[in-house]
Amino acid sequence: MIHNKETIPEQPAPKGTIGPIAWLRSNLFNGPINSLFTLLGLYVLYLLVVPTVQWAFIDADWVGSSREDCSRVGACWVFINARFSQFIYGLYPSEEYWRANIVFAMFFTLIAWMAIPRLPFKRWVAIFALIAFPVVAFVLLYGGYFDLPRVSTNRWGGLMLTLLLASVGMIGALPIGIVLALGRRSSMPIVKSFCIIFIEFWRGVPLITILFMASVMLPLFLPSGMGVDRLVRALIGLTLFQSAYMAEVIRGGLQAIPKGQEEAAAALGMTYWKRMGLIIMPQALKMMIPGIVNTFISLFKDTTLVMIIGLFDLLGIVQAALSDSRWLGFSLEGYVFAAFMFWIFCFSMSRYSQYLERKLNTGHKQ
Amino acid sequence: MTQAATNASDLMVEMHNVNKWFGDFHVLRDIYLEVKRGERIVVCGPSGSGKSTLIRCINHLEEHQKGDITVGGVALTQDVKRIEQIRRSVGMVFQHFNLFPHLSVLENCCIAPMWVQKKPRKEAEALAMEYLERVRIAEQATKYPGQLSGGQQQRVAIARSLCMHPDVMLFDEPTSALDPEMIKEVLDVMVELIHSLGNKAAVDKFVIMGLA
Amino acid sequence: MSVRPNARPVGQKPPFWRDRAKRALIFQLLVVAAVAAFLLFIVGNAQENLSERGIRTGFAFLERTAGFGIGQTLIEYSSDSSYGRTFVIGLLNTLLVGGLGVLAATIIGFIVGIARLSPNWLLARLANAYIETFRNIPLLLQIFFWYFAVLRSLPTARESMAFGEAIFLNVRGLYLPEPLFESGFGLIPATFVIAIIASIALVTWNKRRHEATGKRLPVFWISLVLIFGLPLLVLIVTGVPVTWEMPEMTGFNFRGGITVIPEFLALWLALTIYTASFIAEIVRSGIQAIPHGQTEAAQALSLPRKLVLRLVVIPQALRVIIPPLTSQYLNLIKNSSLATAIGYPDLVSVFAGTTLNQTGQAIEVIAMTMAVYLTISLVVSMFMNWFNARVALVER
Repeated sequence: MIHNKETIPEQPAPKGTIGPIAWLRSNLFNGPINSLFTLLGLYVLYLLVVPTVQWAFIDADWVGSSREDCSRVGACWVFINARFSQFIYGLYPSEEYWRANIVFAMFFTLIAWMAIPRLPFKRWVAIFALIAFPVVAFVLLYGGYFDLPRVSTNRWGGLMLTLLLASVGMIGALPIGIVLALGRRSSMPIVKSFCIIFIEFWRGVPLITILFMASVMLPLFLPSGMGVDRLVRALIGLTLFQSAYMAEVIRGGLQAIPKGQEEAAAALGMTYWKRMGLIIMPQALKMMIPGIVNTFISLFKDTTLVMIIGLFDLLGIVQAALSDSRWLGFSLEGYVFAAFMFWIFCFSMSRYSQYLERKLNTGHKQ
Repeated sequence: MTQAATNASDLMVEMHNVNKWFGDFHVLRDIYLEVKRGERIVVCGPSGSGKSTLIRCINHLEEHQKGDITVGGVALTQDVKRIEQIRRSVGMVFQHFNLFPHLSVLENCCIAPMWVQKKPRKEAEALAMEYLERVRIAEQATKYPGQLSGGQQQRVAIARSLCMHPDVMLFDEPTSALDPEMIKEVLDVMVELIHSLGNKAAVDKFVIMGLA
Repeated sequence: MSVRPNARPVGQKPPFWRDRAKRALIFQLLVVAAVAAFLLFIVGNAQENLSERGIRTGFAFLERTAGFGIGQTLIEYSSDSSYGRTFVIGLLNTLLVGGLGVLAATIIGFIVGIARLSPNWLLARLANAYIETFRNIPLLLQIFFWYFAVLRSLPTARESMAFGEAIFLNVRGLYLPEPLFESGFGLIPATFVIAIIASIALVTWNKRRHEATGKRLPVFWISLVLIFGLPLLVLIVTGVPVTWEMPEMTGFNFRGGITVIPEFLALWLALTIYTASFIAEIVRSGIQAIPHGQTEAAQALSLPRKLVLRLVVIPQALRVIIPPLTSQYLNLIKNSSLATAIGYPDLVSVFAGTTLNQTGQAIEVIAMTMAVYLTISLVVSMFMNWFNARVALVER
């Protein structure tokens, strides 16, 4: 029996079900237990946030040049201000900062170009970034050519060194990782075993032992008399370590490509390297990028370990500054600053990686 | 409705003045529905018109904001005990089957009788095999859902809900997720079920059935 | 008339440089040769360099006297002990902080991960803030924060923070009472073991009874009472055969009781909080990986909420959670090597640090250290492969 032949007009939702009161009711005070949690949560927030804001902003000292300008009630950001260029450039001579600044500018421009979706010529930018930029950066930072005074690697430090370690580690790990991943998928037993052993070795040991190995054992393995720069030793250790993790990410990307692609390419008569280079890798690379960004984030955090072998990355230089007798007792400010710097980088990268993953998931229907 | 006294115990599902909003969107407006024992209802309409929502309100998978819903004489409120009581007498078959992939076909059918109705395993398995045979899939009893085709999975889903001996069966777009070849096998099963109750009905997108 | 296919007659071999199998073989031989040559090169250099510095290879150094003290020793140790013993001490310390870290991180990680999915908006946001904060700050920095910024600002021994008369916290560490077990105490752990066995038997019996008759007893609560209540009962009945040695303030320091050094505290706190943030993410995505339709189907079958979780959601979620979870456990154990930075005497710090510096036997020491971690990695990998194979969802 039909009761109504016409469409009933729309009515507004009952008062208690929409609007801010309803939201509060359903999301925060949805029953006794939830209400308790909400109150507890608010209390915890109050306990954490209020003193922090008080210390970091309201009572803090921002301007000045020495520790007398710090009242010790709030945070002493004067300390950070005074040492800021050291935190960024390490012990790099200040009259040569312009060289580092050029490298910084190029670095961030390249990253932005690759990251922002709609910019063109990404392939050329990538090739430049992987091949030409390292050379240019090295020449600028180290000097010795074109009348640029030499700045030895002992003086490289701070944020500059952190970014350098992470980037070089990544760039170096990429080709090695590709070779390892392909070798691991190979049907030749010896190649496959070597690659598996290699990958599992570097993934199974802590980074610190690798850095120890690089800094202590590497000189032993080289012909006597041949010295290796300390920074280079750390870079070798980091690169080899990272290449194993890269290999796994790349393998994951390759596995995501349906077998039919390789079979179709083979059926068209392409040789192994043509198949890989023209068909499989371009598709796989797109899928790998979130994984690559994630391993980069890990590597970025792992670069802090080099301070244990005597290099002064961002954390190392902050730690060193804290033992300066002129600035004793400001360890909290130093660590908060360093944590903030790292957090900004890592958080942005992880957001970007999530954004990429969402984009890829909608574009690639299996 | 000219008969004055429709026997109350004959009414399996009653919806009076039911309204539901998703946020601001008024999806169910003054719904009035009475389903008697043995009746079969088909709900048709364009997509987005609220068919799924209507059906899902009956076993409280969606919550209505205004109006009354009564199932088998039990009023549907926020009371958890009432909701579970109603769900025990309502069976549902989903568009995407929703079989439990970590359990075998037989275990899928036995899980509710054993844990809710507290039946011993032997009794539950015998019951399950009986319904699996009704839907013509008894030979797959030890297989897992991942090993079955869509049509096979949906038939298992039908058997699973029948094992609870529900008074009301809800079908929410049961063949939408199936390939054309498999739709027939599922529809055949559904038609046969309806036949076994002695009446014919049109089976289209949705059916709300009251079982005798 | 048959059409002859235009093929080479079978049996005629292609020249060996085009034969796939031969090419593969030659390539692999080349790889082996290259690796062998490389190894010979570095080994040769190493021998030359070592003899130049007067260092002899071999593991004989393990028997020499160590001559240095260690801040935390779980077994007997003195500066007269051998270098080999320092290896064991370091290893035990690593396992201690690793084990306790895994335990604490799992508990916190699961709580935060589940809170992240709570319908309570505030709780979910707080959990998210936790995850995003601690995931994105390097572990070493977090260790420094706890060690140098927090624990260093604790009061001196004379002004320790006290909890009753038994627990004291100051800049030199955490002091806990030490239980001294008297002769009758052996009964308690025995009762505990018996209670566990009884619980397992109870659960098995309950399952069988359920299959047979459909009825169930609340075995979870019964087991809980058994496992905790029975030993407690025996404890009381035997007159509590335990005395506690309290830490006492003598002179400038506490003596007696159990001392937990601040290095351990800082490392354990940092490892726990850092790893918990990753575990929380794993738990969250594991639970979210289960399609909502599964919950709805279980609800439509009138399964009560507890059973929906126990029978449908959690079994599926665990399959997704456990592999990355064991990966994080492995990371935690490897990360414990950062102990070197603050002087906690773990394996790397004691063996690959002090012992290596004193003996100069870099290759042996680092090889032994790496071997330990590789073994742990291997064991965990094997477990994970076994687990994955065992619980894999059966598909076509």
